[in-house]
Amino acid sequence: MVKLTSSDLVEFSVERTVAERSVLLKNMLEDIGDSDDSAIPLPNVNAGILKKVLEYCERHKNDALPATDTAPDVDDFGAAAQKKSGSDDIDEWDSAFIKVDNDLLFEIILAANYLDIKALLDLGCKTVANMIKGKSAEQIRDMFNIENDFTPEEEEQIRRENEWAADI
Amino acid sequence: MIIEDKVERAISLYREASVCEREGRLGDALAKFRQATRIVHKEPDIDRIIRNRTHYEQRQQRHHRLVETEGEKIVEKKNKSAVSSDGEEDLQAQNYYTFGTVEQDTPLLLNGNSLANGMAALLLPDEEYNRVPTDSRFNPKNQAIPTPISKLPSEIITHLIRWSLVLDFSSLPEIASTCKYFHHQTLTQALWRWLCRKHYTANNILNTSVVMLNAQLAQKYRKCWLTLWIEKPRPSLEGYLRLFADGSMLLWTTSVEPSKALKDLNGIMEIPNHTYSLELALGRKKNLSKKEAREKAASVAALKGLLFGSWRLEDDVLVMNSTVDGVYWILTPISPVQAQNPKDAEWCEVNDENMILPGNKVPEWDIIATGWLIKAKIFTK
Repeated sequence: MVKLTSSDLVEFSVERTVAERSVLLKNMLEDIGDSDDSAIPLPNVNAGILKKVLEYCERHKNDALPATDTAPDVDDFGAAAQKKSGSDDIDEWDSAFIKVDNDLLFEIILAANYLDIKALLDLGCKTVANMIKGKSAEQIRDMFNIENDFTPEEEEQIRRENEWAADI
Repeated sequence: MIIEDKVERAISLYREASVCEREGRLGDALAKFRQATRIVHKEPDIDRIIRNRTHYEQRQQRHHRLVETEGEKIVEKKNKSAVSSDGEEDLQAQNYYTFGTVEQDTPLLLNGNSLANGMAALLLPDEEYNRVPTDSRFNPKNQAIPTPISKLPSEIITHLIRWSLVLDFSSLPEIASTCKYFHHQTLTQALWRWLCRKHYTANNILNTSVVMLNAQLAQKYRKCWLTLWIEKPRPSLEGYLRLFADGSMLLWTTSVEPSKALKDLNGIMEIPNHTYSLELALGRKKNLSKKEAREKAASVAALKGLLFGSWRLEDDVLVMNSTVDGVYWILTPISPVQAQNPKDAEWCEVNDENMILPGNKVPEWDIIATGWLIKAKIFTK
């Protein structure tokens, strides 16, 4: 069992295989070895988020790990190629898991990025991407509370520049 | 030397800029990058100089650390063993033309006057970058409620935009007109290259991961990536793409007869009159290594060396430097020639003696891979 401490000092105890879904933790554990029994502090993740992330790791503890020897940019399709075709689908459990409010969603993405859990990061990003796609700019802005920093002329111009995309 | 001093200054500015970038101070970073490139604007390979130097320093440090902890002898042994990850880095330290890092490109901005029509507007400005809004990438629409998206670092925002476009490409205009930051993201080279690679690799067609460009070429080739994405030619070849400073492209393909491959790419590549398609054998001398594992590693590394190594295209002779177990390779268009001395591996002349015609295999060489090198000019219209 591995002990993890969140930023608000809550301790979590998980199986090693679960913890190793995080490449960061996996590397740390390899360095520490079996001798040290103390908890690993995670100052960037609070208890609520960590609990959620560990839930994901527990569910996916037996999945194949993605290849780590490729450059980050190449990794995407390396992993996708390994899965079956149509790999952009999200399975049911994952889709229910990730149905959370924006705040928590972004925190999960940040945590997955920090802990280096690629599958969870992708899941989070795809979820947000699903929220973005098909929306108008105004809807996107509302969704994320972003101000429009274009003038109406600029905005119109950008739309015109990119309208070829609709034909693809 | 005055020039050396300038380069040193540029390098230290460049490094400071990278630090700023990492800390999220994009405005400062860009100002420093601009200063650096202004100083050495006649020296286009500053990226390469820095990369090589940084890499060299890192290797030195690593070497010293290893020696301290494990002692000289063991380090020697490690260096001699079959291609480890170190060997891989060795190959990658060769002379690339690079455009930013692979993970995150500096966003490139529009010169206000160049917004003409769709395609032209996407061209990068020749020189100055405009200022990027720095700390406030996102201004909250409603001050009273939080803006969680501003917590996300730049590379994740890039990721989000990429995935959105993969899921529904026609949302591009809406994404681009959301706010300035999103718009900037859609102008980066990296986005289009990523999309091309995702598309092509998914269909197991063109592996473009070896493509790296310097900033000056990026302008030309960005259009190519965009065109590649739009036209989506479906060449039925498997191959690797390399781009060179003079605007030529080399396509290494193993699967298909070259004229067919060229026809497939016709939409985006301009095929000059004197295109070369040369059958090339990558060879390894027999009995070079007795151990099975080492042989395999060596041949894979050699192939990687071909693809990732430093190439020179000199009067249509392809010269490649790569080190695998201290062996240097020179690939002429037809014949692999082993150099005795690294210095000799600079380049060699092709003559009747070392030219091997296709079908005329030299007995001491094991052929590891054969393929076609197709030299063509990138679409420049």
